[in-house]
Amino acid sequence: MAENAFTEAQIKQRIQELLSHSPVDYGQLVALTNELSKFDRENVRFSVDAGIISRLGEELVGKRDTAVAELIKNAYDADATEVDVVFLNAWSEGGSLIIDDNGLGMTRSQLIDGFMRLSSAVKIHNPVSPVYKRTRAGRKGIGRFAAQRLGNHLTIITQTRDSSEALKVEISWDAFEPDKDLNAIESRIDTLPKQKEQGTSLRIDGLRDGWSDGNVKKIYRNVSTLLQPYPLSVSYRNDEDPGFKTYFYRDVRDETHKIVDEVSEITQFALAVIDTYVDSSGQAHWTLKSSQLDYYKESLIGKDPEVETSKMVYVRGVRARVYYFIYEASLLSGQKRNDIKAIAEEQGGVRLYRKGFRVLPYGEKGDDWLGLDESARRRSIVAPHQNISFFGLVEIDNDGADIFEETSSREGLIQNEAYFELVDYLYRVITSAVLKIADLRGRKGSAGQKDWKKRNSSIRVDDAINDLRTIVEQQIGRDKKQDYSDDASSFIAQASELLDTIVNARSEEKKETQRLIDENNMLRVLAGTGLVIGEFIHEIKRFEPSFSADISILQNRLSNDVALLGKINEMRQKLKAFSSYTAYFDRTISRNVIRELEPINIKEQVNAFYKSIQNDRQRSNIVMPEPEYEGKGLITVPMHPSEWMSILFNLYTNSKKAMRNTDDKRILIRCWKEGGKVYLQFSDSGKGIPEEDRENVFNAFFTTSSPVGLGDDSFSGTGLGLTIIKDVVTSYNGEIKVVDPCQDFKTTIQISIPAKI
Amino acid sequence: MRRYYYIDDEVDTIKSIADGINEYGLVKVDVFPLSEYKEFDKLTSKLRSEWKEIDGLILDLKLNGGGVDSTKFTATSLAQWITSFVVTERKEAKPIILLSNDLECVRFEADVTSHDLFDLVLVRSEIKWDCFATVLAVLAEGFDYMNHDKEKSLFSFLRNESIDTTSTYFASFLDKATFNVDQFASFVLNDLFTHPGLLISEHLLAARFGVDIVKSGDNWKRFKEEHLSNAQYKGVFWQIAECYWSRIAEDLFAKLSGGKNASSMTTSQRVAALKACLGEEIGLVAYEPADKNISTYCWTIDEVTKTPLDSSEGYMIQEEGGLKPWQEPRFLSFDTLESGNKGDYHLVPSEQIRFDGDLEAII
Repeated sequence: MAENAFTEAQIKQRIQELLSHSPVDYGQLVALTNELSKFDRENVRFSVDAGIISRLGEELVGKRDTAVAELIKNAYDADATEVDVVFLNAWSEGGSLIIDDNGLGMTRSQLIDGFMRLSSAVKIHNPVSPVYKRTRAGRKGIGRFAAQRLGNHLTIITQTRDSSEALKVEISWDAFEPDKDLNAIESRIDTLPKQKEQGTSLRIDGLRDGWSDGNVKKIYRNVSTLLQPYPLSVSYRNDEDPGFKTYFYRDVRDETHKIVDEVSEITQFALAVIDTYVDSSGQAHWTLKSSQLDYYKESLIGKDPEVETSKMVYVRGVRARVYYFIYEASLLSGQKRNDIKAIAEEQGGVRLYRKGFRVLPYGEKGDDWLGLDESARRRSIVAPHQNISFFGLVEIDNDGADIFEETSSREGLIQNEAYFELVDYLYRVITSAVLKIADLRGRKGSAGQKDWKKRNSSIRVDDAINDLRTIVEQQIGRDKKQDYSDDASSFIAQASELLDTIVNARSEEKKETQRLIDENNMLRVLAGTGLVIGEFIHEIKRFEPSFSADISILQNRLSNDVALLGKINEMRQKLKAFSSYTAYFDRTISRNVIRELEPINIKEQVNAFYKSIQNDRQRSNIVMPEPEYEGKGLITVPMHPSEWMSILFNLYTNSKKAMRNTDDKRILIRCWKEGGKVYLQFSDSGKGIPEEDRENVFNAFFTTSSPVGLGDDSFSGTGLGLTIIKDVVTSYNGEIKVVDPCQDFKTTIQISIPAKI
Repeated sequence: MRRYYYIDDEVDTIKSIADGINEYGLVKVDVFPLSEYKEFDKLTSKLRSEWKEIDGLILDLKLNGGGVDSTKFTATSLAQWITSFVVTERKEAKPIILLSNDLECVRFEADVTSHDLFDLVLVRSEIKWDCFATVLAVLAEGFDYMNHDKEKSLFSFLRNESIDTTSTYFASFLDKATFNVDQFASFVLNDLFTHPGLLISEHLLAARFGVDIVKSGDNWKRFKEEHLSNAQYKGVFWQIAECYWSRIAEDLFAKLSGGKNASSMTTSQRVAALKACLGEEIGLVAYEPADKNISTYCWTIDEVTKTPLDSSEGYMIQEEGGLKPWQEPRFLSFDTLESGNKGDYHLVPSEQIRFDGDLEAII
């Protein structure tokens, strides 16, 4: 702009001319007075460049979904109960967006002093909304910038309940270009017939972005802290907040064009829905429904926890619906789980409505009127049941309204007998449901459920035996006092005898169970060790090539030094032995990944094993000729390939242990086929197995070697090696036994597996 | 000296491996500073800018294997980029060698489509470093020679004036303008060297001459050097695989045996025919089959034992991606299969059924 294009006198002259005309050209007037003020030699003033609008828009409202959320929050602040957000042709940029609320609307002065005044202090002066006393959610004065961020043209139509007509302002953001004075840019204000009783409608044209459904859902998450998570069962008009709903549509405002539905957005993911009501007689009913767990049941609940049919004394006219969530990965997928949990942290809990009106503070964040958080802290019930696990609503209708009175300060119900009965009833319904869900999921529900898994079998059987014993003993006692017929006496005697048999068998059964548990625990430890070995082997194998390369360098550099060369060759040999071991284990582990069974060629397995232990045999001075095979086609029924590796390696380590104290170390493997079975004999020249131990060697924990830590072989003493082999062999209908030693060996273990048909 | 880049995400072993190769002074392997180029675009732009300064690449298959410098892409993706880069931007082709450990190798084998991207695939733990250094030098030399040969002549690359250029398998390499060095190198390394057909291995050569290599010992070596050197392949990369032109070898047999046709004779007849012309002193011992095999009309070998085999007594191996029309099938003998020492080979399904039936018949 040219500086001082006119003189001070010329401007004054122009102003006078403007004021003499009717209507006054206010735009021109503002521009001229601005110009005139520049001649003030004693004062200076800030002026604002019109470009500030777009700059603030970009800097204050970066994300488009935040921008829409801010506009929705403005509707909430204006005491709207419903907002429709409609995206028109908005898949790609250039479309339109309508945000239409039924809030209080704006009067002309509110529009000019509020919306059209930047950095207006209206919201600072009035932190709560006038009607529903909502804490203002919108950030101060952000709305217009949000609108600017979203599109290049804004049309506002607003009307209050008391106005006779609606106001319409159109703002073209493109006009706010840099190098213009902000207050010199005009936006036209018109009046038009009222469009509805009250509310404000924003229409943003020329959207700067395209809007996918995913983008819209982001807005939903942004504003969901304002919303009830599910539809309210009653609607009314009052000064008490009836809630706030936002509906998102694409192109047309009807059900089929809804982009995101607040009900389905959360409640469809609930693990269970609990419905409960008290009928006119005082009987409380409840139903638990879980489609995920395929469960539905209607039940009664009594005033007396022990008697389902006992009636409530005070509670009448109460209904409740509670959605139950457990934030576990197996029940809710990652992002959804995080989203719902975040909302639950703000809005979780059970809210109370009396005659359709929200009663505060029940269900507000931090309010624990049903004692759910406290109960969860006590951990008498360990299944999740703190407030954030629920989205719930309790309604007290007209029948119950008289019993549940609000305090005069309208801050909650009077805490009378009825109130405590209501709290107790609801707490019990919710916790009963929670326990049932835990049961259905096979989880421990309450802390008192010790050894809970056994409750269904072991403990119940023991309890029944004890009860039976009491009954029988009582009968024997009576028998002594009274004369019974012979038949009756005989019956009681037989019962007593049978009871003793049951008790003894039960005791043996428990010992056997304990043995299995011990074995199972040991197998778990071994399985864990196996996994660690797998990881370890895989990790150290990485270093083998670099060792080999280093040795290669040394060998090359020191080729003239005969003594060192010998040492280096030794290193190479040791690395080779080391590699053959790691390769064997690596193969075993990688083969464990193969789940499919396949017919096993014994020759292939034994040859591979024979090769892999070559170095170890030599180191241990064990003489082991090539395996002997008789006949062809030594192929077993389908088995897991790694199982033969386990069998052979276990037999080998056992033999090594048995030959520890002898200089005559020999092993022989023989295989043949006979009568539809493939046989393998593993013989060694160790200390032999006494005739009486032949059966026992396959039992878990039977070991002839030293306990772990005492011997010089760390593999000694688990006593599970042969048991594992036996489990493998018998699972294929095979057989393993200690047979008479063949030739001049001391021990021969023979395995037979059905041959492939 | 030829220069290779070695790209691996493991930092604690890479230096030793590079040193191990460099030790022999045949090639220079530089460890690629992957930590600074973990993003694909950065890495490729670095390679693009230094393309003229290197002669080849050694890649670890799993660049995303969880090492310190782990990337988000595998060697396969990188090799694919390099192949396209060379073709579309008309750059000089360079050998790409894949190093891998056994387990990764299993995974790699599942993706057949990526196999052609690499000129050589090696299992890291089985490498002999001096041999590997030689192979790297030979590959770099061969690629360089082909890149700079203006005529792009098949005859000179293969060093064989008698090859039949009307065959379909050579068709794509006849036009100088479209000659693709990378593809040709892959053809030589992965097809000619690996599958019997135009070229055959020393064992196969011996089988076709009816000779038992083990029993003949040095006599075979001498015979080979004196009489069969004209059949040996001397084209690009010849130093890394001892191969023979099968047609020339057959012609040589005819010449040495007084016009006999080896394929219609038994092994002992073949050796006898050679001896009849060249004298007993050649000292060759004819191959006699053992175990279940009876026929001595051996024209192929057992791929595991490398011993001569009559294909009618063998079982055909399933080749990856099927057999090309000019390639000969490979076989395993009954005894190899029955003993379970078949290694990683699999039979063609119909052959597996035949083997199962044969096995059942004798037990």
